[in-house]
Amino acid sequence: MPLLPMPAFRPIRTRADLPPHATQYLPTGAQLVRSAPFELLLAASPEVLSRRRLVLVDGRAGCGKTTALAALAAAASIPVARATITPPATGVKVLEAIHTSLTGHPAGLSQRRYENMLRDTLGREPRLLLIDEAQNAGLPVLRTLRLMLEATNAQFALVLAGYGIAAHIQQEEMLRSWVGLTVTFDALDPTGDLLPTLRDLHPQLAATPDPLLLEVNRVHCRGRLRDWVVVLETALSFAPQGPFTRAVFADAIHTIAGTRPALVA
Amino acid sequence: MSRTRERPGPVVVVAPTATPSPNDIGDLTRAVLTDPRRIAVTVRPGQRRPRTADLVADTLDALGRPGTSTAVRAHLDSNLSLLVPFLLTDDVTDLVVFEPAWLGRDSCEDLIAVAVLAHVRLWLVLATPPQGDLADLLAGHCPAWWTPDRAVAHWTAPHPRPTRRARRGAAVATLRHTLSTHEVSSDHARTALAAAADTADPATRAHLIAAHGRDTVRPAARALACVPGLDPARLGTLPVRALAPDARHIAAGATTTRVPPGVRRVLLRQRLHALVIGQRPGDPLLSIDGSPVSTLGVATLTGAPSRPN
Repeated sequence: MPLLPMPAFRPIRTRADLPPHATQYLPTGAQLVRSAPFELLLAASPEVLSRRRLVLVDGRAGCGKTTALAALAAAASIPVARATITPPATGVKVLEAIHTSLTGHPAGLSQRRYENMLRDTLGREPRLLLIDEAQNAGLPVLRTLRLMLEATNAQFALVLAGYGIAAHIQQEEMLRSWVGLTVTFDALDPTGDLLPTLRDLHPQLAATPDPLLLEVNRVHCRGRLRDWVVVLETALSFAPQGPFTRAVFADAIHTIAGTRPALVA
Repeated sequence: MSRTRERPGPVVVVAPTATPSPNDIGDLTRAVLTDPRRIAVTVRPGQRRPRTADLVADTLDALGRPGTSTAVRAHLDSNLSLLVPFLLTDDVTDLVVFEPAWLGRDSCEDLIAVAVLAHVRLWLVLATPPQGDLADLLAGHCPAWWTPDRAVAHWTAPHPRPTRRARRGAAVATLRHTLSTHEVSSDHARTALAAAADTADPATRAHLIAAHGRDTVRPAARALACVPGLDPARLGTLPVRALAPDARHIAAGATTTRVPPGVRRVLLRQRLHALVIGQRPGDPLLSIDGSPVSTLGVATLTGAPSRPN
């Protein structure tokens, strides 16, 4: 299998290293969360992708997969195309999404012509193809992706991200045999990485008492980074400065969920 | 690994004992293409309508026939048997089909029948061992399945010197290779051939269409026009049975006309096509529905090629 020329990835340390659209959901003052899987993905991907092995990014919704993909795209030193598969994901719709990510516009072609065109485009220059929500792709689409990888002229490496993608890909045994790296983004662990991550995320969270953060996590966020970001941006609208209080978190969660939480801290 | 050439049967099933690695697939693909008379296609996954439509089109591409018109046309009903005239008359000895399991059992059976009719050796290369009905079908045609390693060894073993016809067809062989390796997509190849045909002199244009087109009727009409002694006004009614099975002679009425060697293959292809689509012996050779072709129609077919495919 030919190697893909893959110059060293750019370092991604802060949110300033990412394009604005990738961090627009982060509240003012919040920093990029560099969790263990995030660091693993950025550290191990260049070698794996240069061998054109498949990289899988798995994990529950809201745990940082999409942000990690954005970081990977920003770090990569070769052209990157990024597609998102939305249901119902028929073969032609998926191919159209990939084509659009490569060219910027859909072409309204038949599935056969999309396949031909993509094989052509993906064999022209080294590229990284990132496909988010790939768990929505059916078995025929997985097989089509495999055939694209197997094409003798192929010059691209593929990253598939989605909840349950590692299990989903077992359906197509030959595509599974391409996998070189699987990174799983789990919910933050209250007894492990939760508190350090929240302290890194925003200085006001760092100043907030740990028991209160653990309580908010128990009643609402449940380790999901995305939920923490939403709580953070809402809490910031109530208390732009200083450590957050129980009342601020209660108001924020009430605003988000519509019911007042029973915070006991 | 032995480098001596084995003698495989007419249908060879290549199936791994375990899941092959991506490298194995690459090795197989490269090994297949070491001989231009061996063409390879990969079944496209997913539902296709008709089921074998893309397989027919991809096989024609692999033959170096992406078409010579920019308009993409469905190949009639995309019946696999439409490949028979091309497989029988083009320079091809082996048809290698990757992932035949995606066709399903019935279409695999049709494919085997077409390969037998067309006198090409059919290699069915599976990425994973088949199951159920398909396994039974394949075992019936090839009791001892080959491993990928054995197939690679066979394909890369020294093979006999190419025939004079194969050497003559170097341009076709090159196009076959570039299309099979996806260096050029069939859509681009078709566009380029159409552009070349549009600007070429009539002889070159006719050659391009005969070598790379998917139409049998128009090249056959031009070939008939080149046969000395035939009445141009009667070409539209010349029956299928008038052309000898080997296309060496045309018996029109009481006279028998010798067909020049250079146009025999094109006429043979049209005769085979007529039989495949169900023309009766008395039907006009140049017709596709049994009705005579008018003088104007023949003139159009033999004249400047407007948009053959």
